Amino acid sequence: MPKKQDQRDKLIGMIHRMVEILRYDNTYAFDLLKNATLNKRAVIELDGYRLSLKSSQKRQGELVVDIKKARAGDEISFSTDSLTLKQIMAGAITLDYAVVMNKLYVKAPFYDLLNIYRLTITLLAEGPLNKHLRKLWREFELDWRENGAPRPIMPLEQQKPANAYLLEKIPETVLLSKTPF
Amino acid sequence: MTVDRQILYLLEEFKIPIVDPHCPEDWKDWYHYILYDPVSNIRLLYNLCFNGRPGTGYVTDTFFLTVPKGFVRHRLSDLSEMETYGFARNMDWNKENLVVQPLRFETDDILFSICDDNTRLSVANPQSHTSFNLQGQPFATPIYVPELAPYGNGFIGWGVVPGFKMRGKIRLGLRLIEVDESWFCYHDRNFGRFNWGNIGWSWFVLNAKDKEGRVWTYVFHRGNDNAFNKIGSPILFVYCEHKMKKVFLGEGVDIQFVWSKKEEMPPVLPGAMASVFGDRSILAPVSVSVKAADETDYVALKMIVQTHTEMIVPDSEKKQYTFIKELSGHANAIQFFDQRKSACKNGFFYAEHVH
Repeated sequence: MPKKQDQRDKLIGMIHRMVEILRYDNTYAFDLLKNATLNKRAVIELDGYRLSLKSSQKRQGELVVDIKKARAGDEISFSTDSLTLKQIMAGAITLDYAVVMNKLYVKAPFYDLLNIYRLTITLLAEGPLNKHLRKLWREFELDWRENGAPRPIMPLEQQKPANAYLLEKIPETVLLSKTPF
Repeated sequence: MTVDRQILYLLEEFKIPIVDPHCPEDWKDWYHYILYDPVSNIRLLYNLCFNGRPGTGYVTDTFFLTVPKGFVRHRLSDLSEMETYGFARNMDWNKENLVVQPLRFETDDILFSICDDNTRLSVANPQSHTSFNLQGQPFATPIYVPELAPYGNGFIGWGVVPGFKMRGKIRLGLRLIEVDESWFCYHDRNFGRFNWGNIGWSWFVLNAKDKEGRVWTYVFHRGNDNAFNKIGSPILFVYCEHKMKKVFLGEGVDIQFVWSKKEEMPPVLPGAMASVFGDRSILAPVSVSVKAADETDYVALKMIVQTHTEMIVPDSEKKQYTFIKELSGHANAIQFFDQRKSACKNGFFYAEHVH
């Protein structure tokens, strides 16, 4: 059984690698990351490992993401487990399905949420094509076995939420209300 | 019957010029297999596609396994309703993975080889609880179409062997499926230079027996652009007892799709694309009819769609997509050849269309 600290370091290392891949390989995705995170602090949780992420800009304009162990009692902005991420990447479930079924929890101001969603979709679209992202994902899929549960066998017909569009669940008054941007 | 080995060699030969240091990245070369058990109605699709060149390119393998509903967990299952399991994955294409002559591609999870007329496919995906081990030989007339005509922004050539004797095993979870010579097996090849997102096609293979026990196989192909604005000339190959009997071409072939009234959200692979296009709904084909005739012969084919899934293939260079619908189900056929009319019921078809 790997030590908790080692696992946390491994996770921090993988997030740093992802940031660097985006920095050098995908300007669009990196800008999304910048817009969603610059000068903000967020606490994310994966398989019970809570990390505090803070991004800032150096004098030369370079974005720096500082990741460390979160403090007890910090409010979580994003929480999921590796099984859910692996199911999404395999197509057993969609990202929308994971949110609807509360397998993936995310909380942020609406503007940041939109950027996070765009960034996630870009990562999903780019993931299979970018050699470095593919390698990083492969390592995560094979080496990160924190919760130990294998992916259940599911027919592809179950990959989408039964109630179809998330959009249809948003009240019309909310959809028609004016947004500040 | 004797299969022409030279045609088979040309068809199976690996086409990407990988020793050329200037080999363009838009090369594609794929090996496609469909297997069908007429007793259990279980069907399998496997596609191994090489993209670009070793080092910078990648290899995609795609697997769909359609089984009766409940098959995974129960001994008795419902043959009237089917469900599909599958995966699609992109992997690095390392130089040492591929030997071109005789053809052998090997990774941790895939062993694919063609030596003379022996084909071997051993594929595993432990994360999705699936694997299969198959080997066999072709026995239907091979057709090789080395087309260099423009297709999208490039060209595509292809070849077909709509009759393979395959044996082996398929594993899905704890269930083991035995493949023997009673299964119908189809194989084709496609190769060329093009970008996904610029091209499209309609294709199907139909296999059925008439009352006298004769096996009829039909293979159809028609190219189109991705937006369906330009449609190429259709071609329908007719096989009887695994020998090619006739080719219908152009104006002599008509294909009609009947679409669902309401849009649907079919399952999508690869997994990442299921999320990227998670909110996309499309009209689904309910049935496909084909009529073909010339001065002496005619055929009328009717295919009832039972399963509908979608493959969304991204282009690494141009960031655009091709949307391939995978259809399968029951088929009936009526044919008039050699002054004799015959009919087939409860046949099988597998189709793709890009729309």
